[in-house]
Amino acid sequence: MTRRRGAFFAALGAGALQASTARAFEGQVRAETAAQAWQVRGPSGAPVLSLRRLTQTLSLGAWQRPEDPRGAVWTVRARLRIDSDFGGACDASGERCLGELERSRTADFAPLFARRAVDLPFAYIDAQGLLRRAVDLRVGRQFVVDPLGFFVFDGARVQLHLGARARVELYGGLETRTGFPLSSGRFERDGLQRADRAGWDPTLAPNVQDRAQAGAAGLAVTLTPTRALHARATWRRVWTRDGTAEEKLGGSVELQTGAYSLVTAEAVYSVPHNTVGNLSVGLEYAPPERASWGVELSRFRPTFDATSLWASFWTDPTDDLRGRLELPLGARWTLVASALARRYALGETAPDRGVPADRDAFAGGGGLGLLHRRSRAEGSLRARAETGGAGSRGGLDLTASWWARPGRIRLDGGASLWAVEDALRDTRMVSVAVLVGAMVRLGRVAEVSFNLEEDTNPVVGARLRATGILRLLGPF
Amino acid sequence: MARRLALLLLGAVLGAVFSVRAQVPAGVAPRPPSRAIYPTQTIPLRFDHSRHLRLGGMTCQRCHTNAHTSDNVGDRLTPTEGTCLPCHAIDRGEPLRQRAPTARCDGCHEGWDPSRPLRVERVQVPAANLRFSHRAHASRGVPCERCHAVRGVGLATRLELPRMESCLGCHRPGGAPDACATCHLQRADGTLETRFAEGWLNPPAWMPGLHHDADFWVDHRASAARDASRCAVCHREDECTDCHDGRVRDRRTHPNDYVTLHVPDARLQGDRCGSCHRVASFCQQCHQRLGVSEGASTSARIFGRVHPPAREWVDPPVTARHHGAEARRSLTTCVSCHAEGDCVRCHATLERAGGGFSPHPPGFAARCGALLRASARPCLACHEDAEALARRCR
Repeated sequence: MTRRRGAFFAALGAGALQASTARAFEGQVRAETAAQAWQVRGPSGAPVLSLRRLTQTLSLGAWQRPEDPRGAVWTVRARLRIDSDFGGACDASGERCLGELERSRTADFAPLFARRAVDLPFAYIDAQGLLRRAVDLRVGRQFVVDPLGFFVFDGARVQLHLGARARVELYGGLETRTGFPLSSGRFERDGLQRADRAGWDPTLAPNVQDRAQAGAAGLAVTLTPTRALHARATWRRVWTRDGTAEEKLGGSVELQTGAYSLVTAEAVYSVPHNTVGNLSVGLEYAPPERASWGVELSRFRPTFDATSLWASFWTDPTDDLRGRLELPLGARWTLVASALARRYALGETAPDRGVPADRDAFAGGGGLGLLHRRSRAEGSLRARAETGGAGSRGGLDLTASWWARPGRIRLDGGASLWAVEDALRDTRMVSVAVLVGAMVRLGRVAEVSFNLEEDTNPVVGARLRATGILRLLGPF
Repeated sequence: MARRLALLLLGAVLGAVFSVRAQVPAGVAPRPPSRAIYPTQTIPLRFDHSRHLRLGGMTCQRCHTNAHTSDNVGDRLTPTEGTCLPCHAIDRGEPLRQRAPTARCDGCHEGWDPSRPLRVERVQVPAANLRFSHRAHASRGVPCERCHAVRGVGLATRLELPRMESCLGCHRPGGAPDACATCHLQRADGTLETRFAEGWLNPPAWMPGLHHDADFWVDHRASAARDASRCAVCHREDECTDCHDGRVRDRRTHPNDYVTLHVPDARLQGDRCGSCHRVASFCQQCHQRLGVSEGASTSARIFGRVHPPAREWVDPPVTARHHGAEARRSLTTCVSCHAEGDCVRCHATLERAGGGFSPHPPGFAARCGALLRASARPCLACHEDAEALARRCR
């Protein structure tokens, strides 16, 4: 163990020595403050949530490029976010508001609601190109994005470049989970409700699990034997005191079959569920300045946290055939189209307990859009209709933006008309919405935008939604 | 039937692959370079590179005198009038005098007006949005024509500037430095600069799997999953978390009034919702506060109907409007309102005071061992005897 730790620090030291000949750090700070106000009303009319939300984020990025282009590049990146909710939940008359945060008022208490959430989506130090560009190292809170999905953890990731055609990635640490300081748990597997239950009465909200640490380890191998072939195989395991929460194997391949055509395939197997959660094969054809299109055939079966009850529930796969087309119509106009045909494979599992096999169900839909772009303006008109899946919806969205002063002041507008049918509730509804907004750049460091949206439908009546965002950007 | 359909679709895909391959011309078709890299030029000149290069002893350096020592793309490398003077007997006092080779102003300057003889339209060749050193290439013996194919060309324009495909002939793994930032400009945080006055820098069409079409913002999942390190060259994690862990609604994916309209979308595209929202926390939180969720506080609970009537939703037979069928079709939707305990009430075994209605798929006993070995916790929510389960589960 000591020898291994010694080798690790030796590698770090070697990297640091390499970096000593580098230039000083360059950096960038971004700050964003978003203020939002809107109302949400439940389907029966009460209560009404008056949401007043202030979200502040501060992002830092700094990097050091060496004089020698073959030297190691050091990068530091971090983001801090404070999400404050000043809203309230009151009955329709507004005479009584719920005590959503007061655990003593069990009738009003909303266990998953937090008035203020502070989290650190990522914060890491990264060194690329250590040991003669053979090793990359990243330490801290970081993302992994691969066929297994998003994953965020606190720990270390090492990437070994085995020549120009292969690389191996190893990572391990603690998963970022709900209930811990500076953690959002957003990318935790779905299924369980969690919170920091410290100080809670055990009988209060028994469905909400207490926070729990989870160890995580992963391995990925990426191969590019030729410029036309790219393949990746990946494995990840996450475990808690309750057992294995996730163990998945995944793989993806992309093969360039022509100058502009590409065949892709992806599969994800869940070990505890003993099932293939994702399987897809696709084809893309994207020549420059001509019609580009893609088709994908995929099978999806939801998989939940293996320590949750849902992991053992009967779920049937859905098979999708998706297609998309983008057709440039001259220099300014573009036509986009998409289509989906879905089969719910309900009849696929044979009955063994006298449960009759159901017939497959189908869903489908498509969209058509016309996009227009000029030097000072752009707009789009998109139509979409979908049916099946216990409901249907169809509608039109119109958006337009115009630079009143190029690069400085932009005016935005939009309108929507949607019709929705909910087959399970036997309801139909038409919704109309209009939006106006503007964005102003103040020099090179600041940008202010706001928009107002008026929504009208039979459920909530007329509601106004306001959003204002201030973005600041600066080097240091 | 299902297999036949799958085979048919696979056949269609493979057919499309080979038909596409047959259409692709040999080599990459010539096309204008990106304006984000090489901004629009104005070159109001008459000039013929091929004619000049046919002259004996003519070299590139003869006219582009400082090209081989230039370290910066901002350096002006086009010849000035002084460069032409040794061969062209230009005399500003006699701009119309016929000579050979031509010395008239309009011999080279298009649109020259004799009434304003000292005014010519300016040549504008903006600097490329790249990092580039001619000196570094010249000192390694790279001939000019390897990158600038002007031998058969009249006036050289943006079309004759080198493309990335040709750069990658040398800048490749094991060759010259092949990091994107070797040539492309970077922001202060180390990612590539992608916004320029004349447009966005997107990956070229020949770079497989990275085609950023108009709907890429909604279809990029597979491309990112296959190799996110490619995305990280230009995009920071902020850009991922702005949407995937977002706190401000993205109107491109959520059209106006989406809060009211999301129900059928969530049922149809539940898997896609999961890419940005964790159902058991994001959806549940709002559903609990609004009283929609089974676990909502009793003050907030609504007593209107969310599901079909109990005689269809709960009682047999299992039809498309039964909760069992809906759960099999879209269990994620159930999890957006229900917690484990809601289901345990009826699905627990009789020994655990439940209704004994099994929620497991057919044949579950033959493969439940993997789940039990992963975690016994969910099993014990409904079953009493872990040892008996271990014996039954394979």
